[in-house]
Amino acid sequence: MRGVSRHRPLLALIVLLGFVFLYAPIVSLVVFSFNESRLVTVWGGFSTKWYVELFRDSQILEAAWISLRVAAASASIATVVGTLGAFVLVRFGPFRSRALLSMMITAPLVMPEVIIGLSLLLLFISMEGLIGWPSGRGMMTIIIAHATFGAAYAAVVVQSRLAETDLSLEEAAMDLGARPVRVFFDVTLPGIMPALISSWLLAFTLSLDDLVIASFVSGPGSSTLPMVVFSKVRLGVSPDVNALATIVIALVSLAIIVAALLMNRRRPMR
Amino acid sequence: MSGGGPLGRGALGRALARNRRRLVIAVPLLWLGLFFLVPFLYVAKISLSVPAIARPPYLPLWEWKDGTLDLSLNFGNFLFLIQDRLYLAAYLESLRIAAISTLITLLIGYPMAYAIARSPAGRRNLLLMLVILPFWTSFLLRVYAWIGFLKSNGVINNTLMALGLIDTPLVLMQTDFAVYLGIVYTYLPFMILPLYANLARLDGALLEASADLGARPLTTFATVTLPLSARGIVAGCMLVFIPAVGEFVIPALLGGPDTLMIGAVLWNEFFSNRDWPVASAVAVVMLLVLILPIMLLRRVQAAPEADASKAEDAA
Amino acid sequence: MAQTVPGRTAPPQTTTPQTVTSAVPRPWEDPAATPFVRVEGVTKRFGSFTAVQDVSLDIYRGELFCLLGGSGCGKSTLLRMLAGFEDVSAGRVIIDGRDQTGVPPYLRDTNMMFQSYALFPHLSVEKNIAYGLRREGLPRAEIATRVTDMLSLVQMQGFAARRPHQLSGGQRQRVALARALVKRPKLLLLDEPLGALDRKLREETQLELIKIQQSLGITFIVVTHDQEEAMTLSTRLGVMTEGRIVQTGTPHEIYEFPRSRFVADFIGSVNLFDGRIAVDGTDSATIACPGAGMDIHISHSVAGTVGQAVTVAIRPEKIEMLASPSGTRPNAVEGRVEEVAYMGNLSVYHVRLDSGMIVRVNMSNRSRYDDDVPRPGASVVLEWDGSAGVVLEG
Repeated sequence: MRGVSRHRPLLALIVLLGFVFLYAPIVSLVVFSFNESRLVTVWGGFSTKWYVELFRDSQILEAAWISLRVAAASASIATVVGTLGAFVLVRFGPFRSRALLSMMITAPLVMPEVIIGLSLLLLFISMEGLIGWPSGRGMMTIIIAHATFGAAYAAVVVQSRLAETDLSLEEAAMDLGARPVRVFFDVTLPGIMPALISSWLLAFTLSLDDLVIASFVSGPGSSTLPMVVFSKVRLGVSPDVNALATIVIALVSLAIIVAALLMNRRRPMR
Repeated sequence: MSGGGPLGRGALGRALARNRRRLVIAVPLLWLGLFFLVPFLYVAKISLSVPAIARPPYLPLWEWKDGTLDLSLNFGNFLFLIQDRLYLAAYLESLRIAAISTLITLLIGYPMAYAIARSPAGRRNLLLMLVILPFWTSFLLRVYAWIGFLKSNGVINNTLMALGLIDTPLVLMQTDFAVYLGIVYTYLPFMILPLYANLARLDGALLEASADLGARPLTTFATVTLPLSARGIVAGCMLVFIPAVGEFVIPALLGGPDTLMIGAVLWNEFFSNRDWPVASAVAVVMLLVLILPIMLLRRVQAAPEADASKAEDAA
Repeated sequence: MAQTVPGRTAPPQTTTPQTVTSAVPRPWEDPAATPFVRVEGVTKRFGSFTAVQDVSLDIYRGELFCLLGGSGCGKSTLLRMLAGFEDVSAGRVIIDGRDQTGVPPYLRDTNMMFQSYALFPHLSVEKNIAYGLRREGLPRAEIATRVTDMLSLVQMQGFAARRPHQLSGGQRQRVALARALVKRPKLLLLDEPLGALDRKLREETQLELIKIQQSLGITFIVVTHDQEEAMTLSTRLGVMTEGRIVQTGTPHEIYEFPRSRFVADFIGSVNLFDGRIAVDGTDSATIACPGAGMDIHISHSVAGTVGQAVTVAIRPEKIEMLASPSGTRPNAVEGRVEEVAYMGNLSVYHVRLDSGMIVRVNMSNRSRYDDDVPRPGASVVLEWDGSAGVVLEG
């Protein structure tokens, strides 16, 4: 950038220190997952025994499987609901419930998790009393809860993409004889596809990550991975959690590398 | 994170048949209404009920008795929050911890965002991705990682002792310091991203103009860059402050027995004491406390759109 | 709006009619002809803002009609109402005898070429052009033939498989034109069709556009802010400002017989002399112009009242600049050259009259040498014929 070249070494140092702060804990997680010693912080030689232990822990495996299913289902619902919400807000012009929808779709982003969790649980309990559904708490209630706040994130991502797409593309399709629904699938959807994919991934990650809301709305036998991990680490550090963290980090890095490669291979859309 | 333009744009939405339009609007409206808005009203309702040893553990707010509606609003739960010093202390403690953490996050995040925005264009996206990357890995596991760093035989103490700088381990875990660190660490990307978006848009010609008119770099920063990034500062601070007030996991894992934040109070009230009305009252008050910051956030996020919509019909 | 004082029915005979426009039919002069596009009292409001105000317009089959105006004058909004993207707030739009008011764009027999071209980025050139035909449900073979024909019409045969981002600006423009034309619309709407091209390419493309329009016989309505483009392209043009059409006519009529100060000033450059009618005879008139320090003689009646405030508009190229009076023209005034701007083909002189008024005069640079051209400070005489000036109200 112009005019600040003299400060470049200082700026580079700031960025470097910032990244050390962000990544040092993550690196240490990975390093100590291969530690022979039970003491997470004292190096006792290389070992993969904590991975073996992790894969023998049926509680963690079961929770991970629940979490993955909850995350996939809630991310899919969130993407659909969020996309429709964003589309309505950006493309529909004024309608009566617009302000209400706009408020509801952004509010979950800034709402403390404890409030969302508490309020949804109270709703589920009272709905069960009134109409018998949902009967008890479990995966279904967690999926609904996660889909709701995931939809808010999805709406934001899709909204900004919709706002920057060229309106005349949709008009051109209509001008050439395509009816509105057709226009949406032929033109709008391909245009916002990258946003839909990031929305889904974002909602998936948020669901996989959530402890507080899930703790409120889950029932017996539907503990998610974060809930199990939380109860474990509350009692102190345990190396198999490090092993779990390492696997998560490896998977995320892999996904990001694949995504980056795909993005590079595909020609720019605009 | 904004509510669209003041008016939606585009002929596509207008061209949709009326009943189809209604259907498309109904899906998000009903979903969010049922699973977001109604639950809130429900919390508000329960916060006004009398606790009871029953299932559910509170008395109904209204009842039909002999053909008349018997409405009994109970503000006792709110009075209880004021009378019991614990709640007031927890609210103040939460605000204090959130405010201090937000300030530290700003002091770390601003230089980083500035440095990234001023780095060569080709490198900016990579740096930005590195900022976001930790966010995609588990939040819980990242907080957990700090336990290994901070405990008495953790990485920091071991390193300092090996270097001979200290003889006895420092007490880092279960302190306010650990909580600040956890919040700053977790929410740093939320500070950097809006700041970066703001600073990257800053026209370099403005800085040159300032220099050309005789301002030294620090003066330029104070008189041009800083005022123009005010919006990003407010947005970033609110994005850190608001969730930090209600934070539960970080104080639970890194804080000590004295660290009393309101999220944990609500949690205990609900799960340990099973006092739903008081838990609901705690939630309602927390929301009232946060309304001001939330409005502030909405304002800074909504404003830039107004300019975009003006250009809508440049015939 | 200010109207000309004389009924413009009798243009002075000294002006030679434009040969290009006289060669093609002029249906707008035929009272029996039925207009192909009829805009009746159309108004468009956005909230409290009125973008288009009570516009009525008749356009005939085969015309290339330009809507010309500055940004924000409502020309694009008018075009978008013809395409069906905007509803009209009041009035009717009739195309080929059918009322199109309220008909959605996908059911109209019009097609539009967008300013941004609006080529679908995820589709190849071929698929972009085929898109509209697919919506009609035509057989594949016919679609393929028509797309191929269209590609050769716009000379883009080799680019069928390319994506829009792999094309240059001029190539995208051709694809956008092909995509709009392939549906054989009754009416093609073009929003700043050449706006994104650089000057040289724009001039070539203008002529090509006219050729294509004439060979297909499709009615074109073009929105543009570029007056040269409008003059070159159009059979007739409509000048718009503040949501209204202030004058329609052939390029020649608009340039030589503006009916208001706005049009005179907007198209080309002009010298405006404010004055009052001093004498109004049967075939001549005199306008007293104290600002210029002279009386301007006009070689026809202005059909106004003596004392009425008028403005005489004289184009810079209609004024002759001489070293000494010739004595052959009715209007002559002395002045001093203030500034000279050399433009290549011509030079623009700013001459200050004794009254202080500045007059713009254009002179072609016939000689390659500048020995005998007036220089700043030179005393000169400005002369013009009685038919040179247009008398406008107020």
